[in-house]
Amino acid sequence: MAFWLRDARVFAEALFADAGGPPPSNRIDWLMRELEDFVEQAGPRVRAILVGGLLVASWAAPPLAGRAPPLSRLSLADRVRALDALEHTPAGLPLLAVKAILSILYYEHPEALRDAGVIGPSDEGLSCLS
Amino acid sequence: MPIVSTPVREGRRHAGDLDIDADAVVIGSGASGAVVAAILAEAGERVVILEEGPHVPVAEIQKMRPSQHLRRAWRDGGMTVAVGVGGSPTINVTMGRAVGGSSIVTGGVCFRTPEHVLHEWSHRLELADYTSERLAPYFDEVERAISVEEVPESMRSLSTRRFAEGAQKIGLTIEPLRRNTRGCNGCGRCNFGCPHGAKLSVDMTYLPRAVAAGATIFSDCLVDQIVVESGRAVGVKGRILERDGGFLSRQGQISVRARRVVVAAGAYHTPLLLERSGVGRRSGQVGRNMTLHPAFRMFARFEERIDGWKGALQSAYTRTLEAEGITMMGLFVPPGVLAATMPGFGEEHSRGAKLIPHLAVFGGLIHDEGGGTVRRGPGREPIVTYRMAAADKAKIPRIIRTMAEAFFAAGAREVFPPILGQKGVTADELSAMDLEGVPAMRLECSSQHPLGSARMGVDPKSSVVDPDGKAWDVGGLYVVDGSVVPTSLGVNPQLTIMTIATRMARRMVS
Repeated sequence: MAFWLRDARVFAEALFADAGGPPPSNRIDWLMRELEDFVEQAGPRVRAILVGGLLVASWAAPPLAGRAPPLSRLSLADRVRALDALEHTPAGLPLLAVKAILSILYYEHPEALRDAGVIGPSDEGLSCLS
Repeated sequence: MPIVSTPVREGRRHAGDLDIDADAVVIGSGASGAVVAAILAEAGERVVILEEGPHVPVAEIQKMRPSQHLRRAWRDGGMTVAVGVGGSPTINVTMGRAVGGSSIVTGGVCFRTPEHVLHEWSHRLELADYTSERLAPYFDEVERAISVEEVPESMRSLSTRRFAEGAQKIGLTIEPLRRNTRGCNGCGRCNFGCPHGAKLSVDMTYLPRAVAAGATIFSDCLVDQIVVESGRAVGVKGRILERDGGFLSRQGQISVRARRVVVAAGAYHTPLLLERSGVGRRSGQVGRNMTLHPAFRMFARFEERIDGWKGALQSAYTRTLEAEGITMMGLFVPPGVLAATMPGFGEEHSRGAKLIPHLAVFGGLIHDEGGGTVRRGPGREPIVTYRMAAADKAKIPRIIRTMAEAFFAAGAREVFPPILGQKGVTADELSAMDLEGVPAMRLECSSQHPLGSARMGVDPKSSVVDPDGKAWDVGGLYVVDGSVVPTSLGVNPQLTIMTIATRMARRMVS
């Protein structure tokens, strides 16, 4: 697996975690497949933006939570704290790009849309959303 | 209404090289290229249209999720930026990269060029033919061709209705937008390709007309250079791309010989192509003077469900602050984009995502003075920087406060200003915020309207093309897209771009 996909997984688990922990692993697996396809089709600049953002997250975030990098070595709680701290610094801009790509993909998963309350439990999905 | 599907020859399915003779080659199949191609073809010219992006027909769009359209038909998957310099925000600039160009990723909003803008063009810039009277027949022609109609109030989303209620309470006048639609049912996903063929983007209108008149469209063809011989453009050379995104991009070569070369590659790529081809260097204006209409969104949380995706994506606007250089407009974005801009990670982000059904959205754009520069980058894509004028920077807090005020007047509980990591704030909390002191790096800013990077004018020393789009220094070469627009407009430019292209094409064939 490409290093950036491993970093993206670590990032996504922290971004989409709730009180119960990270999202189900099959949903994250789906997200990573979507991400790989997105980057493949959207082109080399997107890959550069994504990889750059993930590198910043991986190495610049942990010290802000008093931990040594990389991000992947941190517990889920520490990852969340570190990324949250980084978002409030000027280096937060590259994070936005990563958050944007992952969120656009993640919230097309019907279960994610249901968790967010966008569609009801019995909705098949709205044509404008998924 | 039957959906028209434009026949396109897909470069990716073509083995080997392509050598073509034509009367005119048009580079780019977007709002301007399609118009010029149709008019030239209908006048009897043998026209070839070369489009860098893929062909994404409506039948495919109907099966796509928004992100699938984003990765397939948007440049850089929607992640293109103009890098902010000199204390300016970095701006996410979105563009189409497919047959139909950016016309397939717009909300379809159509404005005639504002009178005060045309006054500036015809007086200060001495573009004598660019008055509302002289352009009126061309506006009429385009509006008929793409079916420009007013969005009825019944199609407004609750998101827009809530903003309109608040706006009226604080003295802003809300007016209906006009869009190029026919049979729209308000499914709210116009900018991810209309799945019903109701948005009459140029792949539904001008391109079928061009093909019917004998033009040929090639997708997946990237033009590298305009061929100039003895001071005259005689054709173009380029590459056939193998697949989306341009990885493994060299499959075959394409060469078109033509007595007329029309550049319509958009404000990011037209200057790059001119620069690479040695055109317009003497003016020193290629790639300069770019305006962007920097735009800022505001989310507002209401107690009730808003479900802002139900209704027309864009249906109403206010020009009450036009004199200040600000236009505000309704819009909506997919849940994932809303979620992305919610602050925080983990539980905080998760709580933010659960607010999505309760969020209303409005946007405000700046009628900017410019400050964008397009330069050649290390690959085939440009590096674009943007230095926002001080007067424009001063408008940002005004936009944020006004949109928030309108939403609070409509009963919003909190708003989410366009600041990275910013939590929702109440009206009192917003009043206490130092918006003027927010660092530019923390502002979320976007643009859908890059213009002016190869501007037209009456003086070869300060413009790249003349008022008819003819390059000053190379015969047979025309630039017809948004890059010729000499100032920003303060409103969506689609109709202006198509009207200018119509005028230029009519002049070519006369």
